[in-house]
Amino acid sequence: MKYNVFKYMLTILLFITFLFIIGKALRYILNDDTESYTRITYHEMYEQDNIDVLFLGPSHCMHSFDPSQLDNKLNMNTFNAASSSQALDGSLLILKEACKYNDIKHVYLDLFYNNSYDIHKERTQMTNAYIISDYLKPSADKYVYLLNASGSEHYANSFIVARRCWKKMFEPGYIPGLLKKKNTEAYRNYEYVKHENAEYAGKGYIKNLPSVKDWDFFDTWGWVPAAPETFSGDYKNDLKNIIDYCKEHNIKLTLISAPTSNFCLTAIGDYDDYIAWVRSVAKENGIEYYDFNLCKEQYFPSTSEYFIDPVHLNYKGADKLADTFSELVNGKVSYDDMFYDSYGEKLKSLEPTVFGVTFMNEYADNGEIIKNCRIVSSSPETLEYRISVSPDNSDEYLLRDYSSDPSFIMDPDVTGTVTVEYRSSDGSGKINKATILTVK
Amino acid sequence: MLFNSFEFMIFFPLVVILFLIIPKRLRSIWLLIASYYFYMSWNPRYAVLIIFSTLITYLSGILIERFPEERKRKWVVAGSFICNLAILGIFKYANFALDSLNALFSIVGISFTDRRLDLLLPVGISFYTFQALGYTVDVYRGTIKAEKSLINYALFVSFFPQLVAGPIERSGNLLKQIQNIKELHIFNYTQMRDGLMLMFWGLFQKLVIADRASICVNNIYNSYSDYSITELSVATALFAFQIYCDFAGYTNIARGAAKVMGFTLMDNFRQPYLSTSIGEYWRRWHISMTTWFRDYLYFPLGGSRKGTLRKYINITIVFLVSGLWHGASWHYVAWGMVNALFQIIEDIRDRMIRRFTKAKSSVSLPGRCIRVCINFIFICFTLIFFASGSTHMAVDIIRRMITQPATFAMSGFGIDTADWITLIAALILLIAVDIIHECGISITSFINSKRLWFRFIIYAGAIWSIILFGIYGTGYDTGQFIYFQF
Repeated sequence: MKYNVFKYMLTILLFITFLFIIGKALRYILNDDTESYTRITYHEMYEQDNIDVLFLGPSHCMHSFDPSQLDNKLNMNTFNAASSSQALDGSLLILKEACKYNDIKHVYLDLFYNNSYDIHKERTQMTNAYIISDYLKPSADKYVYLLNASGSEHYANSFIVARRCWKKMFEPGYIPGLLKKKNTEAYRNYEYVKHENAEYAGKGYIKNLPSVKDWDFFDTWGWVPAAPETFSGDYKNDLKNIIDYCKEHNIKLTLISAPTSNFCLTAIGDYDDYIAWVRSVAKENGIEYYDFNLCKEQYFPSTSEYFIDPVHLNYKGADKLADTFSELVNGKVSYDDMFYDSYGEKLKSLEPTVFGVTFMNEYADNGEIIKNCRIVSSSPETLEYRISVSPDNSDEYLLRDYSSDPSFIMDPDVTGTVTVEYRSSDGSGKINKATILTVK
Repeated sequence: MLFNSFEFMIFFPLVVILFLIIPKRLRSIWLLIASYYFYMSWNPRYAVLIIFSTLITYLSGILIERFPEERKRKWVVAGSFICNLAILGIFKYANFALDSLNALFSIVGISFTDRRLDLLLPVGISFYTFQALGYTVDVYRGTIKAEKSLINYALFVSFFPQLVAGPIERSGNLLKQIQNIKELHIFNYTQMRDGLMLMFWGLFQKLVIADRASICVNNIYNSYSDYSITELSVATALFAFQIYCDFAGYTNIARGAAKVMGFTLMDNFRQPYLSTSIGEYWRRWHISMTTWFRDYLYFPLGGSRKGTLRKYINITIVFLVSGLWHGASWHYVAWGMVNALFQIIEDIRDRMIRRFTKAKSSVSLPGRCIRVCINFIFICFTLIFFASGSTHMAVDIIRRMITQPATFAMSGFGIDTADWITLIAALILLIAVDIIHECGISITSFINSKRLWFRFIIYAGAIWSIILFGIYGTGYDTGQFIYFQF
């Protein structure tokens, strides 16, 4: 009897192992991660001798802190473990994982308000979680994270990578092509991935190459004001968990916000409310908060030259930020000297600007797309805007004559350019013609 | 709690593990608790009805045995039927009756009532009511003795694997196994393995075929006025496979789950689409229900013993009740009537053939294949009434199939190439499995006779097919089992 039970248990164990091996094989032949940044990031994280300083946060952070520069300036081993749209529960998982292999002294947690409405069980897409979990080693923390990161409808995709991409097996040539890509030294050795406008530059930093020109901001983010009273319980709990974890493990935690364009922050509006909320959290927990959006011009100039889009720095911006950041951390410049007290104060100190246009698609009951656009300006006086459209394949037409309403609706099917002219509302002063914006 | 839900993946192993390790005398109680938890996960209030039905039929059984006089025994049976059918009537048919009366009175310009009862149809009510009523009749007929243990009897009525969508078990089978629960069941590797395989096959049928086909069927049927005979025919044929795989899938999961715990539930399907006539189809489709109607309705009505005309009337009554059993709507009644009509026509045809030909002619294989195909077309025709939301819609679909010029729009089905390939491959597998079973070959025995590595490949292939190709999780609305609503 005992022999039989042992035999059956062994058979079941063998079978589970067999299932697991098939799962691994299916993942290998179906999941294309050859272009993944985080595959390399987390591989490198495990390979580090010891990480002293860890940066966590979303892509905003990933493009802002370049460890290759910071290492020299801070004289410590820094690592940027940020990832695209990394939510705070993901940050905590990475922190726990990093702590297993490193004696981490300092964590900089980048807070970006856009994640603050996040409710775990209501997440509709999990790619941002998978780009973390797929490349971390198996652990109880990881599985607990995946269970808590979404509703049960996502579990199959969360735990079984091949399930996410099974349809690829029916694409002619996909599997042989992928196997060919994976069967290279570059893939096996985690060689750095390069794309047209961005490349992996080591230790988690993604170097963005181009920069936006002034008045080229036309984006789809559909910014809404930051309203701390509506932040989700999950967001607040996750932040608390990270703070508690750092306290328990004697890790110094500093909250940071990497620079975002003035266009973006003005479009959001009420950004000072967000700052006040983070400051209150920081104060309550005895930690510091550096918001680089409050930097004075001499430390981080407000120029679009440093950005690749409204929220992400390019390599020039990251270079500049490395200087600013190290000056602050090394105590060469004091906090009070470097920062304004509020974002409003900073805007007042700058030349009033009409930054660009933000838009968000809305879907009507009949399924029609309504393209809601809004002109973003920091001008304290009311301006009037005149909007013309030049479609790619037809003549320019006037969409709307001068009006003080910054909002307008565009035909969602039109591709071409939009021109915004603006003047003071009393008609005085010169008329400024905005740079032509490309309608995407 | 659906069989294809994450909750069931936790619930079932827990129930089985505890079932195996607790003292044998507690097994019935444990399964009863688990069954009620399973049922109450839909809506705890439903439990009141099942408890009521259980108590009525339990007491009926005891009273029937206690009363020696036939008249009193009949009164008890009638009482049990009235109570149970009253619940069924109120919860399932009251609004249907009100709507029908309204429609009838509106013909003569009278508004009968615009009120509807705010009642939720309890899941599986038709199944457990019929199972409990079957028990009452069995005790009355003396087929079985009345069950004295309320726990055993309550478990018979509420046994979770088959509670909400059958098979409608007979007391002679399931109740006897429950009575012997202490002696019958010990850990049995073979039985567990076979049970799990049956569950996986059921999940494959449901998740890979039925739920994928349902996307196509819903897309076409929801906008049927945009499509011609081609799309409507493909959608109807897919519905035939959807309903088969949905229901047979449920049954297989139920039978597999029961088997894992050592219970044997009756088979509910025997390759129904390989039948060569509508009559044969009904002997192979939803066997537990058709045999229930046969034993507890058709035979008591006189069956075929009281002349041809009476036989046809009895068939019509059985299918009328069967239609209504499936749903409180006239299109189900129409579906039942079309089936009855086909059966009667078949019977007349067979009588004429018997009159004019003396010897029974054997049918060649190609001939049988053709008959199977033709019969499938007839089945699909009847299913138009089943799949449609109303009789009017069914008639409209048939009219469109006849009058509209044929076109074909693949995009209307709502699935992409990968899904089509998967669906077609899975249907080929399903048909192949049915043909193999029809030839009397047991696939399970065949697999089990092979070496371990071969079995591993088959089992792993089955599990990974479900994991990869199943319609579940994000992006999909996890499909209810069609027969839950009955």
